[in-house]
Amino acid sequence: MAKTESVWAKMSKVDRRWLFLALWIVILLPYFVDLSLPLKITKMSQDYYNYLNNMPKGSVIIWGWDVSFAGWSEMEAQGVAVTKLMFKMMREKGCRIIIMGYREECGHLPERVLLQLGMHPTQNPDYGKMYVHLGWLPGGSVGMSNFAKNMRAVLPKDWWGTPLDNLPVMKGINQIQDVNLVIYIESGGCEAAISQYVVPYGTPLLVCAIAQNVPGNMPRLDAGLIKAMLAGIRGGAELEMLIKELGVGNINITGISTTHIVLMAFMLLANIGYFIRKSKGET
Amino acid sequence: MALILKRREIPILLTAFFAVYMMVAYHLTLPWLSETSQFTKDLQTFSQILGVMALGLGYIAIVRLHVGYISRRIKHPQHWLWSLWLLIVLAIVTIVGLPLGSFGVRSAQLRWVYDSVLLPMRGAMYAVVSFYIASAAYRVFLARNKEAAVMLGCSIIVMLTNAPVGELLGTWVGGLGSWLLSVPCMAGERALAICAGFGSLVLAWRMITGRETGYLRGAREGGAE
Amino acid sequence: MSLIVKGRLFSGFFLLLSAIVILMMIEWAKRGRKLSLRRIAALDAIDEAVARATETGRPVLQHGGSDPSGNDTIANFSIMNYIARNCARRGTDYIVAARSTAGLPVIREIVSGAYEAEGKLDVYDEYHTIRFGSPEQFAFASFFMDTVATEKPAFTFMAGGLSGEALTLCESAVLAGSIVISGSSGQLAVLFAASDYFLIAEELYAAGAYLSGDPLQMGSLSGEDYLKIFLVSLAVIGIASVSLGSRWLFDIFNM
Repeated sequence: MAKTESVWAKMSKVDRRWLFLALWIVILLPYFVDLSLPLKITKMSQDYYNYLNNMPKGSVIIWGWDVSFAGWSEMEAQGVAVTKLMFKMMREKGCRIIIMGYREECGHLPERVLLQLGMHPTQNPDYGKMYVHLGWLPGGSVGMSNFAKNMRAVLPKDWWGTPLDNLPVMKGINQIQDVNLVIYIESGGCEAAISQYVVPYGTPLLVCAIAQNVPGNMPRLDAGLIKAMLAGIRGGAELEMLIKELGVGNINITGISTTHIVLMAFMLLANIGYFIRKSKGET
Repeated sequence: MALILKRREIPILLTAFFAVYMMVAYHLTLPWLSETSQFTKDLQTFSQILGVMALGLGYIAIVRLHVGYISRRIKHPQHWLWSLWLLIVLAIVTIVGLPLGSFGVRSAQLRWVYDSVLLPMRGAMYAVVSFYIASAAYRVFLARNKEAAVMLGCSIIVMLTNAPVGELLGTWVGGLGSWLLSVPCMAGERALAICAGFGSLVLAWRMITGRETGYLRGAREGGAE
Repeated sequence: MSLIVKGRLFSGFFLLLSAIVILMMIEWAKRGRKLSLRRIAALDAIDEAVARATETGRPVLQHGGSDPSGNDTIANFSIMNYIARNCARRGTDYIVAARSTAGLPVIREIVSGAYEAEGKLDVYDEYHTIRFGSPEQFAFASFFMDTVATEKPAFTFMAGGLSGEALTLCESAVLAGSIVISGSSGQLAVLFAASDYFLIAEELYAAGAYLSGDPLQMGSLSGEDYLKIFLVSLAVIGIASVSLGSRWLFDIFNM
């Protein structure tokens, strides 16, 4: 007669599809049931907000995009919240905002956000006076290096083909030394920005980091190469609370809680099954 | 001529010359040998052009490869009909992106391709990662020994720190999670970054001196010269 | 006006020092100085994994790396040369899933060169062995997962510019019953947890030297160790001096 598997062995070998189904359910649950949980603002996000908010009047800020379409699902909260905050600073402190992308998708993604916020050139006649979208800067690190030395040589026109000399926002700005702050949203690492803007020129850098890159950025934050950092969806949700305009971050953050609970439950299940089997000598 | 160009010494010499030149130019202020000298700027511009040319090269490589699959009526590993579909989609997106009439890089049609096709597809694939994370966590996070138990404990604390639900257990969760991230994790990442930096530096010197030739045809096993 | 750019004197000095130390160690190795490396389990496991693939009649699958200008991908090419020759010698089915269009000609040269070196060019089928997915990260991930599901490799090696898709690739290979050896200087946490063996940062970069057993390449690795000793000494001196209230080391770094 065939030996049947013990329940403890089954606990350690649950079919992955049950796990996926459970995750599926708990990811969708917050969209149907209000499961709002209190969200405490962490020091990291508070420091980020304070740094940005305390920029002097008339500062020139590069809002650099290096996020893929795939990463946008996680970074949308940060991208939209930081853009809103920068437009607020533009209106209240006269800061000039230079939006640009460091990969192909990032000519389009900022345009999408501008459309969402009503700041697209077709929606806002003030485009070009205090903010501009330069589009995609090709060439990776080398492109950034060239851009830092002579912006117009690399990107003579904005994303919609208007020469930079015709845009009041770019008056007197042609080198990275003319810029007071670089904000970099990334889904693939910020080493290029550090090596091309921070190390050679000392330009301050704020990073909007995807969650998996946060541990790798911690030494840079500690060393002062990065002045402040936002971390993943939670960082975006916290910034939305700080600017008092809730968005996708606060919707998605509840899903993080529910999925983590399911994940921990399955991990516990696997460990209980393992230890009991071990005590019975079955492993 | 073709035989001369195929010699392995040429890429090694080119690598060595340009690498050493850029390293020296980064540090000096001589008008003819510095970051701002004309040759350096030209090299960087050339490098940018090469990068963009690689996109064009990639386009040609994809077309050649899939035309080859179609002409051979390959059924394995992927049916040649998928190659035909790829070429059709490639042609459509290329035409939509060309500056012809209402088409172009900033046209509404291309924006539709990005918004309605690329963005959801790539987002969906990224979402799949979360399921695989769960699968890996279920398989891997077993407290088989002391080190694995510590890893399990730390992972649970960090998960609770990132999720608002952790705050229901008390403020100590966030404090401990932040400490884990900013002290032991940072120390480990710093050490790994330094080691990776050294490894890159030594690999670079091996390539410059022609010792590391794994990327060239006919290298000895393991890439030795 | 100074000859050296301000703030870069120490980096220039360190580059020069690293070149001298490494070349010196290579020279010592040429003169017969015996060097030994500690065992790197992940690299030792490659032979066993290829043998297992041969016995079970299942293929070996290798990730072709992403950007060929990245250090990880270059290190992957050395390992690719080794695995390709191993597979050609044993007659094991070998598949490379290429991601980068710029790297595709390089991969073709390496793999065909490996088969040629083993005298097995007649059995080499480029369309079967080298499969190009897509340069885009997650399009490539879906292609790789499909290849794993179809081919069910016994051994999967992944290195070279892995990022967000790394765990997906690794886990799909594990679920298909493959031994997974991976290496990265970036995606350490996820791959370390999910792979059977893992090459941590510099172990990946040392792979070329380790697998070849070439004494001259191993000399460069021992030079790396001396440089690390120098750096750690600087760190200890710096910590001590800052604790005593002096920042002279920072002033030297900023010269």
